[in-house]
Amino acid sequence: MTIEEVDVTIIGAGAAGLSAAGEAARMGARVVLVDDNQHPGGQYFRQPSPQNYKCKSLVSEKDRHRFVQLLKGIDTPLVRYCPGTTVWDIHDQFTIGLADGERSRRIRSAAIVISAGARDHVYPFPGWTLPGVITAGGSQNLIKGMGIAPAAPVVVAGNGPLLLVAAANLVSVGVEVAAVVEASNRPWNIVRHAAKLIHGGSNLGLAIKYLKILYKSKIPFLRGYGVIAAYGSECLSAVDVAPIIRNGKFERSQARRITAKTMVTGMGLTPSLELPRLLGLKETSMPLRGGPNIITNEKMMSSVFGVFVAGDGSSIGGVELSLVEGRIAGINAAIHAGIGASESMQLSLTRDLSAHRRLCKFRSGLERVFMNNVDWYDLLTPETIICRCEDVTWGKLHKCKEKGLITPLQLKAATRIGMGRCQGRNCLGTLAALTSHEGDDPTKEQEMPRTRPPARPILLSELLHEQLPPPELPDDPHLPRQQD
Amino acid sequence: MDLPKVADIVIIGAGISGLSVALPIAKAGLSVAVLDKNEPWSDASGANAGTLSIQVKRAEVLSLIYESIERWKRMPEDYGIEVGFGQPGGIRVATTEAEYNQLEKSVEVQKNKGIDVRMLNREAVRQLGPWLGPNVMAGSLCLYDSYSNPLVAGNAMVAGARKLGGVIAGGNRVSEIRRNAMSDIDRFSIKTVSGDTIHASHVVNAAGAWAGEISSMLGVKLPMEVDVNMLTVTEPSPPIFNRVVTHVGGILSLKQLPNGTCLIGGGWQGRGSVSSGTKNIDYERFLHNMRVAADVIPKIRDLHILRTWAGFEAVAPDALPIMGQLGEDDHVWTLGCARGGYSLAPALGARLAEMILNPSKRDTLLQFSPQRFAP
Repeated sequence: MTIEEVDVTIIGAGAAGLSAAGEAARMGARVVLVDDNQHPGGQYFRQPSPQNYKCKSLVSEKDRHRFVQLLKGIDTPLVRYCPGTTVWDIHDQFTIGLADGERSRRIRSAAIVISAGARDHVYPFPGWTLPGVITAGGSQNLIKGMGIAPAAPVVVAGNGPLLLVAAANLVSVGVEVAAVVEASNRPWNIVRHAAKLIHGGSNLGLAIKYLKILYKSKIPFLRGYGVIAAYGSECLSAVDVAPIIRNGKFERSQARRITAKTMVTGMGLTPSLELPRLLGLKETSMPLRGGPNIITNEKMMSSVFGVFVAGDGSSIGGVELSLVEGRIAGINAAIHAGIGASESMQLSLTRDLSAHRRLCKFRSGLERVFMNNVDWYDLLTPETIICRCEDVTWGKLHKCKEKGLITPLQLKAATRIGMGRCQGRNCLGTLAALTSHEGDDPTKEQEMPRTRPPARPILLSELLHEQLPPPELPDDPHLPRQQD
Repeated sequence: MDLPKVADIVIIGAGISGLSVALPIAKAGLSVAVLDKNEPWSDASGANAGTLSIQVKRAEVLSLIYESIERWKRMPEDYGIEVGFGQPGGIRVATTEAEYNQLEKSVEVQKNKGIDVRMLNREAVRQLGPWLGPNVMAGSLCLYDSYSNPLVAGNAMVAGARKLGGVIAGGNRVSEIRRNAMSDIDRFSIKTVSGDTIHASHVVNAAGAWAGEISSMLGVKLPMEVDVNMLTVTEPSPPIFNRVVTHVGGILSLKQLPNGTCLIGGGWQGRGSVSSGTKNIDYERFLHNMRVAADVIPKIRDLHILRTWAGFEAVAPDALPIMGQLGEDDHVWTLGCARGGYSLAPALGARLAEMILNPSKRDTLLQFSPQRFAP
């Protein structure tokens, strides 16, 4: 049994992954680019599958061109692109278990770039599990990837720049948007942080374009409001919105109802943490950047030697930052694998580093604009579901708390929260927030359930294809076993 | 959780062993505090498939096994707790000629010890388990084989002990045990890393993989070795099989729980050590474990694996239970058991509680006494 050896394995073929793969290959590294999507591009460069595409394309000319360039970068014999493939295990320095839905295999890699992107941050609120309530990322996928328009009227609600993108894209494809509900209400912050925002480059043009679309369409734009509940018998029929007062609570007496068949909830993104947590990469909490962020140095290397993390999978920053971080990580991962950097590569690395600094300034400006102190958890009722896989409600968690079970690990054992099909991908963030919210010492770092292989569920049959030497079985199965 | 200043009995280790002693002692009305350096149920008890199989036990412990399974079954009546107990009966399979011979021998031994178990030929085993794979050539059946869901039993036992007034305190690593020779009620001062002290008249070492460490604090050498057991759980599925399944040759324990998930274990070894604190999955052994499982019940191939995990298990050199007075002092006790510890703990725990409470019971089960390792 031979295990394929490569220089750099890149996990995720979105903006960061594609640019990392291109740069590593340009250095001469043998690259494996793994992506669990069937097509490259990730969320931002998502391409419609032609057979079911009905809406007009939302990809700008500039992005189309950039995407073609990225694909050219990986169109070399040095890059092996594996679509529809999941990384389910990483152990040692580094053996990687890959599964493609049919079979599992292992490769060995000198360096790893994790560019696994982000997912929508979801806050539970009464009615959030009703059919018709979707995330901003989900709405973008429907429009961009499948050409499906969500049922109108649509209420777009939440906080952050992604909300504007989702709303503008809905308008662009002709969907009736009943209202845009944004929690933050600090328009003067645009002026206050203009010095930072000015570094946004092409981001600024895009923001103005989206705002123009919304302004022209005359859609009611509620600033300083939030959705407090969603209603409907079988699927969504209306939402209640209420203003947010100074202390971050909702003024329920002023709530009003808006008819909606779809609610798009955009609370920002949060990095995909399965692989970083499987590897035990050090994290830091960045509430304005999606919560738990992976700590990286200027090479984009994490706390584990040889593991690089780039793009939204490390810290939420958007496509421009992802492209730059991907390039920096790709070059450094190739260097880590023992490949020397030419002078021109060194030069391009220097350019990328200064672009990175500029974009980080823009990001912190943008974060200030959308900053808020909303107490979203104030919306929870005893019936509100926290963990969808195991049907764990806020009331159930609260009962455990009364019995003295307060830590995430205790609550997991007591209620099965996070133990279902999604293994906590959607609810552990909420659980972490709720337990620190409730605990007597909010600064104390709480121990979260560990991520164990498989990082994503895999079919047992996939594991049966790998050829293995016969196992060494103990002569007497009762006696203590030999340890490695 | 605040620790009490005084307890009649302090138990170190809140796994299956420690809690099995705590429950009868608390029920007898004594004050008991169980300390664990991690959350309760963190290691061998949690990384356990929960199989209460009579057929895979060593002959030396068969005398206790009926009693122990009966105690598992009676937990709702005895302590008002639901431990996810089921008694579907178990099939132990053989897939080769050599395994067949081994199985026959083992069934003979079990019968001689009074266990109700019988051989099944290829046709009979398939009739009972039409879901078994074609490589299964024979099996043995014991209708008393059971399971208790380790994912619920831990919390249930903790809750049961608390209801009886016991203190179960995770996150309390013991740093020092001091003997106060002059006093009877305050015989021991047990200090934790966080600086708390409990005074107790009895100490029970039920620390599993850390039992050796705790014994040293008490001045007794206990030669324990440590395994790293791996376990795997699948997504829920409609019923595929309805028995507890074990294997003569391959290492396997397999069951489908009422929520539809399948627990796959058997004792394949992960990687790690107590000293480094790491307990990880071994890739190849994990694959072997899945292969044996799919060979015995082919239909589980179509299930997704959701999670694997691993935990430390302490094993005595002869792999028999360790139970009884530890060293010279009849106020110091120990309980631990690998290779069936989960099945046997309720019986061993109850017997140890009797020994502690009643000096006339102290000359029983001497074959499991830690004195057998005394130099």
